[in-house]
Amino acid sequence: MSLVSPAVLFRGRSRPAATPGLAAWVAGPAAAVLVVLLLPSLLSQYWLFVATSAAIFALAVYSAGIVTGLAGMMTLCQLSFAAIGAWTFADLNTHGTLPFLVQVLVSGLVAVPFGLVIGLPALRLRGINLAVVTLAFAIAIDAYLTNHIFPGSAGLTSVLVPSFFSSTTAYFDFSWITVVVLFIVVSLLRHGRVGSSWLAVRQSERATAAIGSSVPWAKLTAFAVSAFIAGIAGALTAGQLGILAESNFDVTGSITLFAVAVMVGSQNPEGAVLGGVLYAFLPVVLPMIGISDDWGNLLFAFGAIQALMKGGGGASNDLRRLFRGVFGKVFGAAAAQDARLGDAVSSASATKGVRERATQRAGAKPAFEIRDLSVRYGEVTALSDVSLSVAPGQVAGLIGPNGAGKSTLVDAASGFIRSYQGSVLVDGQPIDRLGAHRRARAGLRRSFQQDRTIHDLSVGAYLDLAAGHRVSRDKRRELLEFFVCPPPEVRLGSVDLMSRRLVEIAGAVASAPKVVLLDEPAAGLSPQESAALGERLTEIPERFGSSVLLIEHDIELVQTACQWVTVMDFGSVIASAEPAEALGDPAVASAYLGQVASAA
Amino acid sequence: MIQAGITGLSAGGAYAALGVCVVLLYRMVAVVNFSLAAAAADGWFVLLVLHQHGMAYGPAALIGVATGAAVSAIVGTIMALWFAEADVRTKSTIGIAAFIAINTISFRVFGDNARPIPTQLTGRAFELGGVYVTGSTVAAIVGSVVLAIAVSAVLAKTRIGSELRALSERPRTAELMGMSVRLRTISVWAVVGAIATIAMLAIGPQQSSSFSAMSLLVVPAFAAALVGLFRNFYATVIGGIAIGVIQGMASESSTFAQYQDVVPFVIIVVAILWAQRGEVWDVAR
Repeated sequence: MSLVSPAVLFRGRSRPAATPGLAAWVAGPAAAVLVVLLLPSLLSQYWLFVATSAAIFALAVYSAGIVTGLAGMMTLCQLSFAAIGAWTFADLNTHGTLPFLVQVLVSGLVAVPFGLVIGLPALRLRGINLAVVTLAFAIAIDAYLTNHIFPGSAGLTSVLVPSFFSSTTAYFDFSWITVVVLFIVVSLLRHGRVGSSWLAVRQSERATAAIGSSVPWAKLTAFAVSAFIAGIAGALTAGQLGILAESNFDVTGSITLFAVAVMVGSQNPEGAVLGGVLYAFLPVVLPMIGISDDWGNLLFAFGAIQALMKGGGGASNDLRRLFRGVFGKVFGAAAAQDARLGDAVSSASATKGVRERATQRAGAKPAFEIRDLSVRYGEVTALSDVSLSVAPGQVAGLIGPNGAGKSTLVDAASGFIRSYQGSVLVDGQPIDRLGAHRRARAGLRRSFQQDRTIHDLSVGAYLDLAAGHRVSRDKRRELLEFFVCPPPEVRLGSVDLMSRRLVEIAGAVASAPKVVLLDEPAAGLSPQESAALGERLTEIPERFGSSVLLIEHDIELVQTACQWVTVMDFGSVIASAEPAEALGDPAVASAYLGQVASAA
Repeated sequence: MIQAGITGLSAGGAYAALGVCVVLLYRMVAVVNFSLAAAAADGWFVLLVLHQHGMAYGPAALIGVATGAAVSAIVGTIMALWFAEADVRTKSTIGIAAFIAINTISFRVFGDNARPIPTQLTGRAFELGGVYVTGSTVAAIVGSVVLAIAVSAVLAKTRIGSELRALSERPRTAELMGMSVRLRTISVWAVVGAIATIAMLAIGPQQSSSFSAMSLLVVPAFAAALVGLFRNFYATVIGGIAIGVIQGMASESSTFAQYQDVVPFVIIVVAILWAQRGEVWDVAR
């Protein structure tokens, strides 16, 4: 058997882009604090008031960015969350005795359950239907506010702010410091597992569930955090204006806010600040140059259209790319060097060839088993009484011509087809009642034929998310080197398909599952690349403790990598044996070549 | 109560017609069009302005319908030129941006002043089993049902219908068969704009004169469309009429009257939860 250096796997890879480092974490907040401290001495009271509005709008725009930009759901009701926060604040303020800061905090918290309620329909639906729900919610809240006056506003009782914060300058400082604090908190979330799961849901809900991350959890946390921040923005509005009206939070405001969020790319803090500044200052500045204030909305509308035409996630992402283009060469070169290093190390370990060692342990209960699995779509039977099992430590193959039902089997086993008959067991335990992400956590991982890695995550963050915990440095190094992956700080979207596929497999084994179902991992690879991949697959049980079910078209790969092969045709198993025997079966030859099987 | 429900019928008929427009656009060009009612409201306001300046109702209405069609076609052109291949989320975001743009410009053009409502539209009322039914109510209901039948028939039975379905399901294939995608896409937008404006003429006299309130009539239309799962025109009509009737009945009660605008939200949530009960996320594989 000829061995190909895994360096082949890296052939022709594009220069990967690194994720921003520590500098961005320190520089951003530091610059913000500096500006906040300097501005009061430069601006008049009037402009400070407008700049305070900019802080509040920055929060509102950011809250839209979390749901829209990060988690990929459309929201048209952010000002309704703000209204709930403002209402709570006004109520606490006029009746209660809670300290001011607690009032602000509670206002944000009260908006959270509303965010969760709106997030609930989102559990089942994506983007566009959700936009309809949020818009209808915004109208419903608007209807309520039209008929009910904000607490205290009837008697023109102004909301009271403690004297410490009551000057325009102090309130300006307070608002912007709140912005900086909340941005840091959300940025920490964003770079942790919660934030990774938001990005994962935006990219593909299936992939999210397949790597064991809960789709409902990701969506609900995004809405909860978003509603909290919008609620705080509402409380700050109440503190700034003193007396509130429905028009501060009307539906068209929410819709415009969404357009601003799209235009500036408000998932990034600097984008949100830009959005807040535009939203607050344009209506004030435009009249000064003889243009009516509402034309600002037109700018937001066309800005959003322009951002979508260009693609790439809004103005702040454009700025980031520009920044990377200027300063990023150093990053890029270092990353590429690291990748080559990875090549060298793993090629040494991969050539050992451990296929013989990974033997089937007789008598142990199967790591993965399918019993009498049937799937029907109306009159069409996709799978009919399929049974197969994969022993612990085994690399098994599942082959069959196009339309044999292989991918249907993977979908059913991994929880993406609910209405099947029969049973799926992992480590002897039936998992039929579990949803997709619970199956993944129960020890069944899968890869997808088409690339479903999360492009906005770094390789390291993807591994953490897929593993279900923070992967230790040593383990990460081992995984990445073994599968010849790009270095951990590289963004997945910036590497080629082959690398993404390897990272996907590395992520699947990172959680040490009982079994990994690999759905045509060699599709689109050259014979050399596929042979090199096969080498690695045979080592997975030994190194990582997971059994493998390899679904493939590539007979050669199956022959080299698998100890047991199941062959399917037209939704049924037609052979199940050791590779040589199974592939020699006349029924198998007939299935592949379309000939009538000669009598055996 | 019954009288109030009957009164709600005419709004319901208009919601139904707008809902049919939403479904038609969704099925033909895969857009959830937030700017639908805004474009139609332009048509209505043009009618009001022309009528105010002494033009007869008929020609003014024709020009109004043409205006609604034109505004809708402009949005359609943006879609066809730059977003033909975009996903439904991107396209619908463009619809939201168009909503804002149309609102902003129209507010400039038409202002906030109250205008006299043409009286031709209120029509003669007749009594039926103790309740009064106006001509416009009958027109709205019959109109929306006829619209659903006509749209279904055109899509199912005619050559242009097959072409449009081909375009929506396999734009590439249709283009390779020699169809002009752009022209047909823009035409669909224009026709939908015209129909929506006609619906707006029916509902306009009962609505407040604020442009932004009229442009938000797209929300009950969405609710109706969701009842039809963005596919079925007849269920959409039933949904639209139901929303109108429930709102009409709510307007009777002093407690519920202020919550009329909550009705679409409730119907949307129920429809969505029911419609998507069996889905396991995005497309297979």
